[in-house]
Order: sequence, then C-alpha cells, then structure tokens
Amino acid sequence: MNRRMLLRLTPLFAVSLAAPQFWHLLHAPTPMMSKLERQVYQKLHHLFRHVSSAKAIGAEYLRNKPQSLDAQMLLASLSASCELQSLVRMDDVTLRNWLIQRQQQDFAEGKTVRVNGWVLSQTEVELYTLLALT
Amino acid sequence: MASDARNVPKDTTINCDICIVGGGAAGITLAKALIGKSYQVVLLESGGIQAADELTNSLRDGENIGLPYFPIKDLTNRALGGNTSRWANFIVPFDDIDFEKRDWVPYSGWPFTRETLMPYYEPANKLCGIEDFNYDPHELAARIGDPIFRPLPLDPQRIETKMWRFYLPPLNFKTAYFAEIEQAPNIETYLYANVVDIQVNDAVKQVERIKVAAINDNQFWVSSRVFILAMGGIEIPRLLLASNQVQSSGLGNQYDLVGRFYQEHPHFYRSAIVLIPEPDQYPALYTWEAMTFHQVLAGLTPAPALQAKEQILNGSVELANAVNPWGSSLFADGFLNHVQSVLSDLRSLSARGLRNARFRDWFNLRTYRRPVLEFHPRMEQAPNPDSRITLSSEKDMLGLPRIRLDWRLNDLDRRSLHRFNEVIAEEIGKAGIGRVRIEYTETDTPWPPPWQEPDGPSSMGGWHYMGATRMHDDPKQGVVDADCRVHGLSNLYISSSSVFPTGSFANPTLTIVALALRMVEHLDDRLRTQTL
Repeated sequence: MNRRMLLRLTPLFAVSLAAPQFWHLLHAPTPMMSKLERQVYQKLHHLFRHVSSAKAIGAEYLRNKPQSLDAQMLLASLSASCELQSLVRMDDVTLRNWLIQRQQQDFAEGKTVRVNGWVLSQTEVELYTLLALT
Repeated sequence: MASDARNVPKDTTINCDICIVGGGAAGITLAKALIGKSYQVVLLESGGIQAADELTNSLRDGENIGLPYFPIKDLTNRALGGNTSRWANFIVPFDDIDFEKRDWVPYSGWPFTRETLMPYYEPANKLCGIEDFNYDPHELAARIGDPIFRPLPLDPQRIETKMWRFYLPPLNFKTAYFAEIEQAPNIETYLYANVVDIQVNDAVKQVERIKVAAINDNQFWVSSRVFILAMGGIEIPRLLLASNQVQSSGLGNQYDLVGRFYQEHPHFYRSAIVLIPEPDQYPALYTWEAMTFHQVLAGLTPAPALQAKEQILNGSVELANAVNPWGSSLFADGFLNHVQSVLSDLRSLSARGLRNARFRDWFNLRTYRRPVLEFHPRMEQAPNPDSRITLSSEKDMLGLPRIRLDWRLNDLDRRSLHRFNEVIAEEIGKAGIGRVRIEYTETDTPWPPPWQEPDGPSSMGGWHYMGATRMHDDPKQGVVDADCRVHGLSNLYISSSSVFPTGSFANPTLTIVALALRMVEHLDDRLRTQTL
C-alpha cells in the first residue's frame, strides 16, 4: 500500500471506527417516537458504556412480563416526575444524578422489581427495558 | 478439689448444699460465683479435664428425625469447659424486644424485661473475656480508626447494625476459671460423673437425691439442698424426661412441655448476594476481616419497628466475601456482570477502573475483599411446640434413653427470612451502596434448602440449643419459673439456654452466663433465709 492509497483509506477507517457509536441513532428509536422522545432516548442511551448489559437486563425483564410494553409507555413513566423537555436540557452528569436519585426514591417507596433474583428499582428496570425494546 | 467419680466408694451418698450438674459455661460460672461462700458445693462433670474418652462420648449419641442437623453425638462436649472448648466466642446481649411479648410471635415473652438482666450482663461480659460492656457500632468502629470499617448508612427505623465482641483465641471457661474452682475449699468437683436419675419425694415436691454413674459400673448418690442442672439444652430435657419413676411423664413435665419448643438459630448460607461496585463502599465492619483483626463484627438486624410492622422475627445478617464469585456456577449466566456494568455506568465508574478493582481484589490476599458478598443470616426461630426433643427407645451404656430430636421450622420462620432479605435489599439500594440478588424465594421447596455449601444456598443450626425447658410464670406454659426453678419442685433449678422462651438473634452464651449469675444471687438470698 502506497501513501496515496493510505490517505484515501483513512476517512473510511475513521468512519468505521466511529460508526458503532452512532449506530443506535440510525435504527434505535421506534418510528412512533416523537422528536422529543427520540432526543430523550438518545440522551439516556448515551449514558451507558455497556448498552448490551442494560439491554440484557431489560430483555430478561420482558421475558417474564405478562403485559406488553412499548417505548412510549416506558418514556412516559420515566418522565412522570420530570418533563421530557427538562430531561433533554440536562447534561449527562445532571441526568445521571437525577436517575440515581429516582432509583433511590424507588427503593425508599418499595417500588422494586425482581429480575433474575436481583432487586432493582422500577426506574432502572424501565430504563433497561426501554433500551432493550429499541 | 477434683476427684474421679470412678473411685468414689460405691453406693455412698455425698451431701452438700448446692449440687451443680455440668461443667460448661453455666456450671463453671455458677461454681466460680460460689467460691468462698458458706455453702458446700459439688460440681459434677461427665467428662474429664481433657476431651472425653470414646466410651464417655458414646453416651451422647441419639437420633434425628427432623430437619437436617449436626450429628447428635457432636452436639455436646463431655469435658470441663463444655462447648466453650470449641466455641467461636461470639458475645452479644439480647435486645429489649427479645424479652417482650410480641403479638405476631406465638409463645413469645419472657417473665421479665431486659432491665432485669442488665446488672448481670456486665459481669457476664467480663467472664466471657470482654472488659467493657459496649456494643455501640459507631463507638466500636471509631476505635478501629479506618473508614472502611463503618456502620452502613441505612434507615435505623428499618435496619439496625448490631455488634458482636470477641475474645481471641476463644475463651475456654475451663482454662480460664477451673484452677480457681479446684482450689476453693467449699467446692468439690467430680469428673467422669454422669447423672442418670433424679429422685424426688413421693409428693413430687422436692428432689431428694440424684444418682451418679461412672462408666466403670461405679455408682453413688448426691444429696443436696439445691440441685442445678447445667448440662446444656439437649441433655437437660433428656434427664428430666428419663427421671420418670414417680412422675411417669418425667419431672417438670406435668403439662407435656419438657422437650417442646426446641429452638436454634437457623443459619442460612448465601440467602442473598450483594454487589457493591465501588470499593470505598466495602462493608468491612460486617465481614470476618473485622473479627479477625479487630475482634468485633457487625450484623444487620431488623429494627424493632420493622419487626412489628412486618410481623417478623428478629435475626441478623453477616456479610461474607463470596468465594470465587465469577467462577461459581451461580454466576455462569453472566447476569452478575450485566448488573455490575450498568451500575458502574450510572455511577460513572470507568470500565477500566472496575477491571482494575477486580484484578486487584482477586489478587489481594491480605484482605480477600470482593465486590460480591454473601448474606449469612442467623435468624431467631419461632417458638414451636412441635419442634421437640423426646426419648428414643434405645439406651446408652448407663441405661439412660438416648434423645430423639425433631427440629422443625414453620411459616413464620420462612416469611421472616424472606422479608428480612427483601428489606435489606431495599435499604442497600436506597443508600446507593449496591444491589442485592435474593437466592431464596418464599415458595422454594424443599424449605429450608438442603445443605449445599459452597456452591449453593444451604441452611443449618448454630450449635445453639434453646427452649426445651422454657421459662414462664404459668406452669401450664413453662417448665421453669422466672427464677429458673422447675415448677412444682422446690429445689431443682435449670441453668441453660434451654430456659429461653425465645432465642433472639444473639448467640446464647452471654445470656446463659448472665442468668447463671442472677441465679447465684437468688440462691444466696433463698438459702440464707429459707430452710429447704
């Protein structure tokens, strides 16, 4: 490979490295989502380095869940105490802290869900399930 | 002075004021407290100074028809010191609530409050090797001075932290106190002396003498103003039931209570696991690291308000480092790693940092700290009349029927463990410490789960034999009264955990010793003022 060829391939190589980071943007949200919901979804997705782990927990929850769930229902539940617009405006740290606080509140109120034996907060299970659905 | 019962002239009668049967924690405490008093005391011990010989040990065998349990022959230790020659020296007092009548715990309630026992807990604490009577978790943690050893910040209205104290190596009462007893002019100790019968007067109001047999076919009698049975929670009901020549159901058993309500502290290994992703949240105070290096150990217990609200029993959970958490079959599905990963993501702990923590912890042989710990609950058991000791049709070489143990747990035991685990899981989540995976469910069968250590949940007792001669003011509800005197018999007392109406979460020895000290005070008053 000569230098010219290497220069031609470099952008392609860069795109191939970056593509997985944006993969969820291409196919993740359901078509029924509004633009605002899609933005919230993307912010939540962005918090996770281990999306596959979150999805695995969500999938396990769905496997034993009798009623059907969709992304909009989960987003509505997640944003029950905070409007979607506010969530979109939050930076990552604020959003993370808001989620942690909600989880701890769930535990305080007994809003827990058992997934594969693990006692998890309702909020976190909804979050993981949202990622698993999309 | 110590004599060998095998050499006492056959069929003679030894007279004394107080006869103590059994040289374990209770018997030695009683004898030590009677040193220098104006009473002649006889202390009878089935074994010798060292571990018992094979023939003597054969006397303690029996059969088990109930839950899986330790071999009956291993339950008692026939030698001076009794089970203090092999205990772990866990010292902790009972809670206030343990003495109360709880509407949701049938047969609960002691005839007195914890306040009654408090003056004796402090000297008992010293006898067990701990100088200061301090069980405050914050003060004991502050003494260690390392922030990793701290009480978890859980809601005290739901989950409390209780502390155990330890004397290490464990204190053998024989080694610590027998030399003093042996030199006391008012105490005569007989070794290899097995009590095989208690003889009462025709009216069944008073014990007249007890029959002592040795394994070389020797036998003699002890006549005393007062007799105290202190042979432990298994042998005491056995001897009462077997002493049935005048009262056919056995002594103290006019209401069919002797042997019933047998209780343990059911131990459940790995009833749950907790994942704590951040190393600075590691609960070192609750692990054996605290015990080994600082002679304290914390346990999570249900607060009295929680016990009342949820209608559950007392109990405690110690946290233990999971053995090979990633290699165990329990975690083969990788779900643990998923939970760990998402928790780390939300806590902004980098994957690299976590991997490093795992690597470091795996190879940190100094502390064995792990981000996954197991719950090891030790629960109070619900008093249950069907959980009982009876006599077997088989007899030992001295003619005493062997015991038949039928240890049982009931639905309250099951629900208490289950709900206690759940509340701890909620509190650990609420405090942001980690997440809990519950290994038992309320509908598991069989229950309790069979012994499967180390690769699965398991259960077993704690070598704590309680309740089979329970204490109650009403003779129809208890074998002994509040002074631990057998109902209906003016001079027969019991000094043992067998008198506990309920067993708390706490290990029994400190309370056994405190009750023994209280008994000496009671007898001192009684023998000085009354003719027996």
